[in-house]
Amino acid sequence: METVISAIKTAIEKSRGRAVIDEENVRNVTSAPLNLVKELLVELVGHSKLEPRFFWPCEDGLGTTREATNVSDFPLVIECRRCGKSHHFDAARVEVHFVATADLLIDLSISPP
Amino acid sequence: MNLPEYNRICGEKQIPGGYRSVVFTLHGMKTTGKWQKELVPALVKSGFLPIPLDYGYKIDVFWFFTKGTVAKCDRAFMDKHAQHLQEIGRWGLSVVAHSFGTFALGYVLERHPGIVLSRVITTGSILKCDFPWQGLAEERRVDRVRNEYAENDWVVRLAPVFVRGAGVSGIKGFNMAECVENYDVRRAGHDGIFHEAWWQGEWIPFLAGKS
Repeated sequence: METVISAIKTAIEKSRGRAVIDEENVRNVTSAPLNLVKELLVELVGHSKLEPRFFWPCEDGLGTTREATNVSDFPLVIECRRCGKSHHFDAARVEVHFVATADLLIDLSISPP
Repeated sequence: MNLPEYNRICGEKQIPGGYRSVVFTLHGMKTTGKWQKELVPALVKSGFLPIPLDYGYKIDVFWFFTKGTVAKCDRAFMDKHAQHLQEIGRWGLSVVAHSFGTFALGYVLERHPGIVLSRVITTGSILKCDFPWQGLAEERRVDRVRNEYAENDWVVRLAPVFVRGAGVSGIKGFNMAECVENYDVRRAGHDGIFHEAWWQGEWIPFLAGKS
């Protein structure tokens, strides 16, 4: 568990607090099981150390069409800025990543970006 | 991880997940609300946290029993409300109620001034036509109400005979109020609009609407 926390901290420190973290970033620098990494990331949200960011990807695989701090900010149908088509909201397609809170940055002695 | 997985882990850790809002669904009498279970996947897919309330198969159709029944519904509502307080505090609460569920909802709203609702959908409503939605809206306890009514809903027509305090807003609509939208579902009867195309086209956009 400590290796995972340390991996999260390293990722944040390297980017000076600008990193968007996900379970894959963290897993690349630790051998911890993926499920444990996911649980710890969510746990850190519960402790106000991380905040979720929601990404709605283009269905044609052309990247993110919309990013939001709250799911309620997403429309039910979006005209994709990547491919120009309309995409219907589907929770299963929305990816969740994380950013450090000011609280965590202070803990790590990094000035918030 | 995707959003449903994030929500699942949040649920396990009792942390509010990422939702549009919490949606309670309230069923009617002499049913356990099959429609609620069918509505759940559609709501989940659209990013809501659906909480179907199941207070059992009701047989107490005469008014002298309904006091106990409505109290049971009230307990079920308030228990779920307490259980999901964190999510409700963060994302807000909307309600979809059918038939006797609308009567139970009215009872909850009158009895618990702390209950605040975002969007309300009533269908086959047995609340009185003069239910004070506008007063609740002015107190900022309700944002908007969509009432679906059908002139051939015989269950609603009979409700005032069996349930003391019941009305016929499921046939005639609620009295005009700024926060209320009465929607004529033509001759759909008492449960004619329980299908996915209707929910996707009508209910989910209404529930997702901003204040």
